[in-house]
Amino acid sequence: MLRDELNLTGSKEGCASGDCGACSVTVDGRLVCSCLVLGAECEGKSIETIEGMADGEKLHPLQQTFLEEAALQCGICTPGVLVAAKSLLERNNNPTETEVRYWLAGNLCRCTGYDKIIRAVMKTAAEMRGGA
Amino acid sequence: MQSVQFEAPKTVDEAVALLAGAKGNARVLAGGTDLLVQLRAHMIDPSLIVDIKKIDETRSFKKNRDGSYTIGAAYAGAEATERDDITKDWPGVVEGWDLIGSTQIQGRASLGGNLCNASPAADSVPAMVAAGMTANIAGPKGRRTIPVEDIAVGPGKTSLAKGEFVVSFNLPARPKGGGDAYLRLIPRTEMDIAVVGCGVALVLDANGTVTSAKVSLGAVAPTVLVVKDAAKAIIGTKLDDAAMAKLDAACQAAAKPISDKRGTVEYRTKIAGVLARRAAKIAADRARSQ
Repeated sequence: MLRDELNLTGSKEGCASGDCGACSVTVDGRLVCSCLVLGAECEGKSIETIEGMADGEKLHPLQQTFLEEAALQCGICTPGVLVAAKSLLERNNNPTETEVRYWLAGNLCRCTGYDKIIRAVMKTAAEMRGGA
Repeated sequence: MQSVQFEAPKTVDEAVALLAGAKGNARVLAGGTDLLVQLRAHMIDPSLIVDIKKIDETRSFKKNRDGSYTIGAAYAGAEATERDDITKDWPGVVEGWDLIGSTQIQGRASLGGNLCNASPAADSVPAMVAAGMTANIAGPKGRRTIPVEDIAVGPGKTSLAKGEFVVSFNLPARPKGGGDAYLRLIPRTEMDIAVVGCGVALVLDANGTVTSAKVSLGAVAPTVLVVKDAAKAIIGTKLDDAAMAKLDAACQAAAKPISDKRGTVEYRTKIAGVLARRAAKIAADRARSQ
């Protein structure tokens, strides 16, 4: 539905079984795998995808830091990781590394390994706490 | 795949009528984290899907005046783990629930779905059983309430009749001196299916003697087990070494696992005893620190 009907192709279909997290979106603020949600269930609900993360040309701090820290390689997992990380930071602006790793355990990356991703999320959290 | 009729009724009666009147294979949709996987893998081919989440009773969570809880069958794990009341009163129940899949899966996975999917390895079930939870079922003949352990009858099979579905659960008030715990063994730290799971709920008196207990094992039989001999082994004791050895032996005796890629019969049997010891110790520590 998101990709084929609405042309919102930012969310990736990886496994289509809820394992990889590449299709992560929020439904009424709750992080889910969109591959395991039927379109018909979402009537009247608010869905946020990666397309809504940047504010026009201005990237979300997580997106900016992922670029600066090279926290991606092929990029397939990245939209899901970013949506999931944003959901974490909205709930907890000062997560421990362990909390970040557990929160993102359902976002599989097969290129970079996870350290750069985790570091970028930790750095963004620190910057968002310190700045603005 | 045939075309699927999708309905999202707002009342229990409408849902029952739809399920009871279905001509082909009808499926209940709660969080969908099993149903949609099975649908996409063509393991099932339902003619009707009934989404029960528009029914208030399935999505509600209530702590009652007497300290007990009424939990909607479609209430999600991520919602439960963010609550202070149940995480303090029944940490073992929340542990089991919270172990189902990733953060994303937690956003949808429900107790009703985890139970009615009837996997022997369902993580939420042993702790629900140990805690003495019951399920409120609605069906064409009205409502009935049965213990959680009476729902699954084998892998993927439940005792529910045509037209019946689980609406909500009752979780008793935490008894004075009560504590519970759930442990599972997997070869990694997250995102895996239990090799063995064990739930223990017990009550200690002021002297630290166990006055009541319930022990439940997952993934070692076609259904989640209630191990009465394991409870007997520790009731009346202070969980000394001899009692723990009897608890271990009772769980090993009750375990009737299969060998598969996750573990052998011998390994699973041994682990059933080990997890029971550890879970009993954690439950007792929690009871003392209450």
